Parts: sequence; C-alpha cells; structure tokens
Amino acid sequence: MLCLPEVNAAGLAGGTVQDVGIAEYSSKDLSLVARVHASQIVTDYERHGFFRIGLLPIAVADNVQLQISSAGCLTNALSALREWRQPSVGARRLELRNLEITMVGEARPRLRASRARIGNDSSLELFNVSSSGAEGQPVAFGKGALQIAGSSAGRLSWDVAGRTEELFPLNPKTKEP
Amino acid sequence: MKTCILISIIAGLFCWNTFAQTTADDWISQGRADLAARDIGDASAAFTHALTLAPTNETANVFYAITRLLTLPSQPAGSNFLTRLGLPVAGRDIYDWSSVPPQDGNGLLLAPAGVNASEFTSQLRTNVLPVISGAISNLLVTDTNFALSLTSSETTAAAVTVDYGDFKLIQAGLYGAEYFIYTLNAQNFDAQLTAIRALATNGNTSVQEVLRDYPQLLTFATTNDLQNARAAFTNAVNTYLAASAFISSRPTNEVRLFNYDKVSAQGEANFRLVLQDLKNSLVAGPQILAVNPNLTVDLAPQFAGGPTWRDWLPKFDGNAIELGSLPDATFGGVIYGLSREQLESALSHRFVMLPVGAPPKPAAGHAVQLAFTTLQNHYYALEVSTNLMAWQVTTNLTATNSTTVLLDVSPAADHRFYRLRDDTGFLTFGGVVLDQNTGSPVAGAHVVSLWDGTSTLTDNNGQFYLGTTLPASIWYEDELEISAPGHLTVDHYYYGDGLVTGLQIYLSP
Repeated sequence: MLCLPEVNAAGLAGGTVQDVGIAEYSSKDLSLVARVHASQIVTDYERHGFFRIGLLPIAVADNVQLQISSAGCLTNALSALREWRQPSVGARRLELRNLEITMVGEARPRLRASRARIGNDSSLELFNVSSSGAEGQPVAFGKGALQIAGSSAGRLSWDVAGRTEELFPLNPKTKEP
Repeated sequence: MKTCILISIIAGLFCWNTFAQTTADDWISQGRADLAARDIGDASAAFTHALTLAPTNETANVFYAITRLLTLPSQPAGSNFLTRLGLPVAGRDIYDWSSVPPQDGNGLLLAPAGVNASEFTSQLRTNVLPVISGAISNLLVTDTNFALSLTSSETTAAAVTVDYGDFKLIQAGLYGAEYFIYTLNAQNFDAQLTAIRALATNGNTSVQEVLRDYPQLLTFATTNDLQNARAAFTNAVNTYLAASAFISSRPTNEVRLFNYDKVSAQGEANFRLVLQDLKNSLVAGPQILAVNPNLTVDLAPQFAGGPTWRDWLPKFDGNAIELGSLPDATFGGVIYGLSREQLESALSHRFVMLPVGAPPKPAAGHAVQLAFTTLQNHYYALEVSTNLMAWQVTTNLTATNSTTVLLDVSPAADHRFYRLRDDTGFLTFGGVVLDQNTGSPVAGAHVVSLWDGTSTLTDNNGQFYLGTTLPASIWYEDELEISAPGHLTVDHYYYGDGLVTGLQIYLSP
C-alpha cells in the first residue's frame, strides 16, 4: 500500500497545522483504500472538573473526515493521522472532533461523533454518536466505542441501562433484490 | 594525625552540599534540581532550608507547600497507616505509584482485620490535617503578578506556568479538604472495616445489623471541630470565588495550570451561585437557590451540633429501606423543597424500597381495605396467603401516589395475609389467554418463563400477571410457554424493559 500526504496549503502557525490530508492507495491497482482529512490539528488540554489543565496537553484534530474502503482500514488511517500531531509537543493523546466516517464511493457518512479519542485497547472512544442500524434505522447515543483493529474492527458498541448493544455500521450493505 | 585529616576531609565533603547553599535562592535551586531528579524528600528539605533563611519568599513557600503534601505517604505516620491498611511498601513511589491494597477475586478491596473505620478519621485529623493547614499558609500568595514556571522535568508532564489564580484554586481545594476532615472527624465511625466490607459483599451482614451492632455509628464523636469546619467552608468558598474570577479574566492566549473552559462555563457559573448561596446562608439564614428556586438552603444547622447523620437515616429492613420511614426530608433544616417521595425515588436506584402496609380495615360489603406506602410509577403485585407459605397474586398495579389503597372485595377465608411485592426493575408480563376459536378466556392456563422458571396461572377471566426474576437492566426478552388442558401449548418471545402489559395470547384447542 502507498501512503501519500495530501497537505493542501498546510500551514504551521502557533502550534497549528491546517488542512491536513493523508491518502492510502492499494499497491495493486492504485485504488483508494483510505483517506483522512482534518481541517486543523491544534493543541488543547485535558478537561478536569470545570477547567482545562495546562499540565496535560492533547492534540486535537478538528472536523475529521475519514473515508475508508473497509473497516479493516481504520487502524492504518488513524495511525497516519497520529503522525501529524507534531505541533502538540508533549501531547499524550490525540482527540478527534466532529468525526465523520464514510465508505469509499458513498456520500453519506456511516457514523458521526462529536468527539473521539484513541484508547489503549485498539478502540476509538466516541461521544455523541449517530449512526444507522442494519435496517437503516437511526441510532444515537452519548458514549460508545468503535473497534479499530483485529477481527472485530468496525464493531460499534455502547451501553444501554447496563446492557451492551453492538452494531457493525461499516460492514458492506446488502444490495436490494 | 593523618587519620584526623582524612576524617575532616570526608566530613567536609559530606557537609559541602549543605554549606554550599548560602542563600534562600540557592536552596530553591537545589530543591528544584531535586524535584527534576524526582527526589521529593530532598526537595522538600531544601525548600525548608530556604524558608528558614527567607520565611516570606513566595517561591520557597509554594514549593514547600507542594512537596510537603507529596511526601505525606512517605512520612512515618502516613507510611505506617498505609502498611496497616495492607498496602505493600514496594511501589509507593509518588511518581509511579503501584502499591494497591489486596483485593478479592472480584476486585473488591479486602478489609484488614482489626482496623476500625474511626482510625481513618483519626489519621486524617492527627497527621494529614496539620500538613494541609500548613500548606494553605504556605500558599498565601498575595502578589497577583506572581508566576512560577515549572519545567517538564519538575512536573514529569508538560512544562507549565503556575500563577496567582492557580495557587488560589489549589488553596481553595485544600480548604475544602480541611472542611471535609473536620466534618468527618465530628462523626462517629466506630465500625470495623470488615463489617463495612461485608455489606458490599452481600453476605450475611446487612445495614440493619451494622446499625444495630454499632449503636454510636454516625452519631457525633465530638462537636469541637464544627466551628472549624464552618470556617474552613467559608474560606474554601471565598478562595474559590477569587480563583475563578482571576482565571476567567486571564487573556485567552495565556496557558496556565488551570485554564478557563468555555464548554464548562455554564456549569461553573452555576456552581459559583450555589456556593455563594450556601455561604450567605451561614450569616443571613435560609437562601433560595438561584439555580433552582424550588430549593432553599441553610447550611448553619450543619455546624450547630443538632441532629446527627444517624438521625437522618430511614428504617432499614436487612439491606432494604422501608418506604415512608425517612424521618426528615430537610436533613435537619439544611435543605427545603425536596419531598420524601423525591428522596425515596432517588434512593430506589440504589436500594430495594419496601412497601409498608397499615393494619387492614373493614370496608363496606365484607371487603377489606389495605393501605400501603408505595413509590410512584413502581409496579406492584398484591399477594395473599392463608398460611404464609403459599402466596398468590390477586391483583397488580402501577402506583400513582406515595400511598396506595386497595380493596379485597371477596376475602374467601376467615383469615388472610397480604403483602405487596415490588416488581419494578424486573421483566414482568401481564395479559389475557384466550381460546383461538371462541375468543373466550382460558382459566387455569399455565404461563411459565422458560428463562427463569417462574410461573403463574390465569384467573377465571383468563388474566395473568407474571413477575420474573430477570432484571430488566440485563434482560430485554423472555420466552413464555403457555399451556392449558385441551389446548396446544405455545411459546412466544416477548420484549420489554420492565412491565409489559396488554398481552393477548391465543391457544388453539
């Protein structure tokens, strides 16, 4: 696979990188495997109580659009984005804000989240999530997790009254007969 | 002679480091170097030397405040207490703490035998409080332009500048800790940790038993600290308000230890309003909460040595709470506007709330009137028995009030016992079983949950009510099997998050 940065008019100003894009193509046929775009990557700080803590900087990618050909591409796509957190010196974590995940060739995002954090267990922690079920019914919840690696990559899970619900919103859709 | 010279040289080398620091600034530099080397003990000692030479040096004071707090676990009293609690000595590194108390297979902390909960409050009052109070004095920064830049080596995280507002906020937190310790110390926590832990393990010990075995638990141990608690609370509020005002007025491009967060701004503003109302109530009497005009607060009674925490407790039956037994919904006049029903509803998320019946009364036409305390929106089954062994559901209801009155219009036996069972939170099914061909009710049909084995029979009208033991927080479906003589047995899946009523089940002959 080929990984190519697509930094259009990228600028480094005051610890900010703007308009970041990374694309990954298949080495077989040069078809698009994954594309990540963020309007900017800036430094922010972890929130505790009512305050942002200057001791705990985080890198924040704003308006992240993730375009993938399959759920299995999530790991590489997010790893590529992590490479772009250089402005946030000392940042311990990458946070994605206004995240949209779209399948290659589709216009409508399969999943949206106002905030996402890469956890330590191959999962993406999501906040204020909206997606759709297998029958196309809308699903929305406050907090959940998306597996980004392994055999269950693409599994979206969240808790409802102590029960864990799950969904695979990035799976290929079956065609109408 | 040679030996004497050699000893002198060695002694001189040992003392060199001490004599080399001749000014407070030298000691501060030494202390910061120790901090960067992660040597908190030596750093604290160096800042102590600096304060000896310059007691009002703000930098020395704030560094000493921080390091004296961080060295608490390694001081003899703190270290011995941690050992008593079973925390291994290995791993007590403030920079990389890995010492944790032993746990059971379920991850629940083990209680060390022979340790009384009151040792906690004693430890806090005797050893921790003086250090906190000392740190508060050290943090009395008066220069609003004072700022201290910490390197990433010193913080072991990112480099950061700490200014007047940050120190005020830390100070407010320490005043809050003072208030907490004074308040806790006033209470009697005379109970063995093993007994308290037994409550969590849901073993043979119940809340009722713990309260019975420790009759002084949660009464006043002393009222000597209540005025100190009041002063600490007032100081905490005043200092927090000053810190908040300073932090929120900083230029937005300045990054400090604690920074204004516009996302949390509304919540923080509300928090300040509540603090102000609470503080004002101490001098001006009851205050209507600005953020919720339905509530009135008055914190003064809390410091007046009136009712104890134990006086506020409802009546426990095992680990369950008897509905209607909460003695004082104002908690000694501290808060007005909360109803007993609201508090019981809140408690119901954590405790089983038992309905309590008043003595039955005769009603017209040989009926019996039954009154129970109930919780609004909870669903109940009224069960009857003649021998206290076999119970049968006679009716079910969803409560609309804190008291529910029922009538048993046809008490068949000369004596009957009644009880109201709260099925809320469990998958519960209600409906009617009908004949497929005639549409008439099927009496005596057997309705059984295939997932937990609970069962019931339909009454003469074909009606049934089945309260399962399947918690709705875990289960969202059940498979019911319905059978009746002369009909084909059927089973169906039913879904719900609690009470599912109005089911119509048809049986084919």
